[in-house]
Amino acid sequence: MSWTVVAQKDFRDAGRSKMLWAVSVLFVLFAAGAAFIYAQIPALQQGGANNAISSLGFVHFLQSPVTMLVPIIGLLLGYKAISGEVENGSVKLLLSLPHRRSSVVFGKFVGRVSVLTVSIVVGFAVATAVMLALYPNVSPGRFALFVLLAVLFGAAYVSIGVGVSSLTKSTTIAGASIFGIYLLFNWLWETIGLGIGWVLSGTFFFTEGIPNWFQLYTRLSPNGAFSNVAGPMLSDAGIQEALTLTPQPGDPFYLSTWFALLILLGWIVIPIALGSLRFRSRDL
Amino acid sequence: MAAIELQGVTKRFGAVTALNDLDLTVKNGEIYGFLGPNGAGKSTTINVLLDFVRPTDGTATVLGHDAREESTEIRQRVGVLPDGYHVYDRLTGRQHLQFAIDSKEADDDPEELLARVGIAAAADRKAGGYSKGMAQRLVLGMALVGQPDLLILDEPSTGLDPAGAREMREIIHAERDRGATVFFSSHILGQVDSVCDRVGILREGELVAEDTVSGLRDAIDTQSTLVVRVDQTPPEIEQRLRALDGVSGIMVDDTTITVESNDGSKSAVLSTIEESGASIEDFSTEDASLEDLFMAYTNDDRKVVA
Repeated sequence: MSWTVVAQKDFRDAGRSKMLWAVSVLFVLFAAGAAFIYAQIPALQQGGANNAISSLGFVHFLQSPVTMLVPIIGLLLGYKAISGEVENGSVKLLLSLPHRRSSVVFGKFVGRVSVLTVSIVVGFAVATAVMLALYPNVSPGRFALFVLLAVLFGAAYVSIGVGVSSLTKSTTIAGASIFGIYLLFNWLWETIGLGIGWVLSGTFFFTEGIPNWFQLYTRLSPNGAFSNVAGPMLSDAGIQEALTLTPQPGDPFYLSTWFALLILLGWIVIPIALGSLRFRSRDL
Repeated sequence: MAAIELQGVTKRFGAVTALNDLDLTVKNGEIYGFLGPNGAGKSTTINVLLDFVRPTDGTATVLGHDAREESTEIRQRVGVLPDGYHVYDRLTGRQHLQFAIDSKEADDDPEELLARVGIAAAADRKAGGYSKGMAQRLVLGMALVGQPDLLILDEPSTGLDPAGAREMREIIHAERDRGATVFFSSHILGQVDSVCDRVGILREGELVAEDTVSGLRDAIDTQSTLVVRVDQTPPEIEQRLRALDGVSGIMVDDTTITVESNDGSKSAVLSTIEESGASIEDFSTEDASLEDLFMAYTNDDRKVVA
C-alpha cells in the first residue's frame, strides 16, 4: 500500500525532528513529574477517604494537564506535514513517485500519529515506572485505557494539524492557524458558548440548570469530547456501563459517553478527509 | 504511441498565461531537449505531465495514460528529476533511494544506484548536508529506480560541475540505449546539442521551433556573425544596416556592432558602416552557432529580426 510507504518515510523523517524530541522530553518530564508530585501531595489525591494513593486518582490528576499538552504536540506534529513539503519543494520528490495525493495526506497522518503515540507511550511508561515505585495500588487496565484515550485525543489534533497543513502552501499561515485553533478549543470555546447563550436568552447565567444544548456544545470541541469520554471511562463504573452513562438519568442520547466518543472520532476523521479533498484538487 | 503528447495545453495562473495552446509530441525512444529561457513555461509543462498542476485547457498524455486521470500509473513508469525540489534533510541518501524503491515496488539495489550516480561514499550521510550537486545526483538516482520507460529531467545539470554534467549526459545516453525515452529541459543550449535527437524551443508558453539538431544546424549554416569594433557608433546605423539584404540581426553596443547575416553580405555591411561615418578598428566573423539561433528565438533584447 502506497500510504504505508509514505507513513514509514514520514515516521523516520518526523521522528528525527529536534523540535519533536524536545516536546517528547517535555512530555516525559511532565508525566513522571506529575506522578512524583501526586505521590508527594496528599491534598491532590482523589483516592477516597482512606487516603490511599491510587493510579485511578493519578489518572484523574493527569487529565487536565494532558488536555493542555497533548493538543500542542499534535498540532505541532501536524501543521508542517504538507505545507512544509509544499513550501520547500520536497513534495515534488514525494509526488514524482507513484503516490496518490490522498495517500500522501493519510500516510502523513498515520506517520505522525505513530510519532505521537511513541511520545505519549514513553511518557506514560516513565510515569508508570514512577508509580510502581511509589504507589501501593495500581490499576494497569484503566491506566492503559487512559493512554489509549490520550492517543485518540492527540490523533484528533494531528488530524486538525495535517488538515490545516493541506490547505496552504505557507507554514507561516499554517502555524498561525494552529495557534488560533489551540486558543479556540482550549481557552475560548466555553466563552463563545456563553456568548451564544446570552444571544439566545439574554443572560450569561443559566438559572435553571445547564441546558442540554450547552452541554452538547461543550462536547463538540475535541477537548470537551475527550473529557466527557475520559471521565466516565476512568470512574469505577464498568466500561459497558460507562459508555451509556449520561450526566443525569434521562438525558438525551447525545449527552451519553458513547456519543462523545463518536465526536472525538469525528475529529480524527473529518479534518484529514477535508484536507485530503482540498489537497487533491489544488496545484502544487 | 508517443511517449508524451500535449494537445492544446493552456495554463493560466490568474492573469498570467504560462502555456498557450501548446502542442508537443515526444516519440518513444528519443532524447528530446526542451529549451527555453527562464520563465518560458518549461517547468509548467513538466508539472502538467506529472499532474502537479492542472491545465486550464487541453489534454496531456504520457505513455498512453491521461495525465490527470491516471497520474499514478504514469508516475509508476516515469523517473523524474524535478525542478525546485528539496531533499529530506533528516534522511540519508540510502533512505531516499529506499523510499523511491519501496514507493515503486521495485527491486533495485540502493548501493548500486548510488554508485552509478557517483555518491556511494555519502550513502549514509544525511542529505541535508549534501551539496547542491550531490543532491542533484541523489535525485537522479531516485529517478533511475525501477528502470523507467520515460525520464523527465528538469534542468538536470543545475549545480553540477563540468565533470558532473558529462556524467549526466552519459547516463542519459545509457538510459536511451536501454530503451527509455528521455525528456529534459534546459535553458543552456550547450547541454543540448551533443545529447539530443530533437530539440524544441519554448518561448512565452509557445513552441517557436522544433527540429533535429542537424536540421537546426542546416538552417543556420549559411549564417554568420560579424563583430565590428568602431571608434563611434553613428546614429541610425541600425536602420541602415537592417535595410541591407541578408541581414537577419543587429546588436549595437558602445563601440561594437554585431551583425547576423548571410555570408554574401559581409562586405556590404562593412562598407555601410564606413559610409555612415565610423571608422572600423577591427572586425571578426564567426560562423553562427546554435547558441545564436537559440538567442534569436528567445531573446528580444538583441533586436534580432529572425
